[in-house]
Amino acid sequence: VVSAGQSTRQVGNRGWRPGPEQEQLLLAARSHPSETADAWLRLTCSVDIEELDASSQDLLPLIYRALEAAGVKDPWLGRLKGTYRRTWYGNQLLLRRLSEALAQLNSHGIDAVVVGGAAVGLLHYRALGARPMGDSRIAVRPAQAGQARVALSGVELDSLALTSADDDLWRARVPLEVAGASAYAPCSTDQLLCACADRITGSGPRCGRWAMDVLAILDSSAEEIDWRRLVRRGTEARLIPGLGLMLSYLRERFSAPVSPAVIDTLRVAAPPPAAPPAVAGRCP
Amino acid sequence: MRQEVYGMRFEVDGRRVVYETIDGELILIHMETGFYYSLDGTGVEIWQGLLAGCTPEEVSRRLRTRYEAPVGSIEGSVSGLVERLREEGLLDVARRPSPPRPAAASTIAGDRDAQPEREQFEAPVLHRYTDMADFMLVDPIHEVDETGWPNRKVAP
Repeated sequence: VVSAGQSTRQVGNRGWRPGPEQEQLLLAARSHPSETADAWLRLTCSVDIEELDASSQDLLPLIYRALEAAGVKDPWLGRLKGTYRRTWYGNQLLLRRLSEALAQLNSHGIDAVVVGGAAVGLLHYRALGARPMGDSRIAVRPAQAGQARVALSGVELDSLALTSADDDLWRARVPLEVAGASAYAPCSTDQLLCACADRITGSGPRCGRWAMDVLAILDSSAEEIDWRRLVRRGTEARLIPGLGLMLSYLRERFSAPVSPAVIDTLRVAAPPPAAPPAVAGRCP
Repeated sequence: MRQEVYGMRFEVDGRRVVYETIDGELILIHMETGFYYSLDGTGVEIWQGLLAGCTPEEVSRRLRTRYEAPVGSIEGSVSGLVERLREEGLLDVARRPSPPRPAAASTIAGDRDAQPEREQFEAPVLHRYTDMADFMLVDPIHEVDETGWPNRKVAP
């Protein structure tokens, strides 16, 4: 059995494991309301909030929500609330741009799956300012990628990237409404997989956020996770053993509801010899 | 209270305005201008009353049961805020005026009995932030005052 500590050595240079500061932030953000005050005290005893790097700052809106829900009073509360307001503002503008892009695609008969921040944020976080959504992507069927680029040529996408989604992800999509526009999101299982895959490949959200995303998905939809599908798709996409190690880490450190059998299966599974299919890769 | 808004009912155009209440503060964005607004205290109560289907008159009546205030000041504050919200495009006259929903009506009646101790009324203030491209560059940890973004720290 490989421990979470060994995982850092095996895929260590890919840097999926949150650092000590981010781990403290995650523990405070996820603490039970009766323990939030103590978790916040421990955090501020060991971490200088003023010195946090940008990726750790991304977790502060969640800390605010936890403190506010627990009724904790602290001189930091105003500035933490400000991080929530700022994230909420940025997300609202992004969702509006995303909505316009989706409406444009819809008008051309192109269905789209929203991947990343907007999908995770809307479906699995309880508040619109809790998680920055700047990593959102719009995925279309590979056969419609060219048509989608033309349809979106007059739309201001800013940070929104256009990608293609594999058939498997497409078949298991679920409805999603984005600021009045109809679209789809990956099913919870695929969102969990995408969160880990983006981190393993180094293309996704910064360290710490993948863990928060997976925990948020499990908090909101653990009963919807198709673990067999996760193992199969994770194996096909050659995300092993990293995927198993990441889930093991979350189970050990945050009591994530992941079965040891799933983790063991992911650890011992052999990757297929063929090149890995992209889970939701960029359009060529 | 000014007669023009006295008996009107209002609504929010969700295509143009998004809002959320966090910890007793209402934050709003006018999506066409990108302007950001904040309202707290009695302003949040007025907003919630209007969106529940109450007229400014009904909202004022509710506030009078909850707060101590000189005669006419609550009415003036409510109508002033309503007009300010309308000027900013955050609130519209309801296209199809309808009576308040039963829940709102019962809340108004219930509060009269449930609030024997009345607080001093404080007039609502709508805070408006327009240069949002600039505000988004403000570091929410180091460049803000103790109330947090978007309120910049005042230079000593």
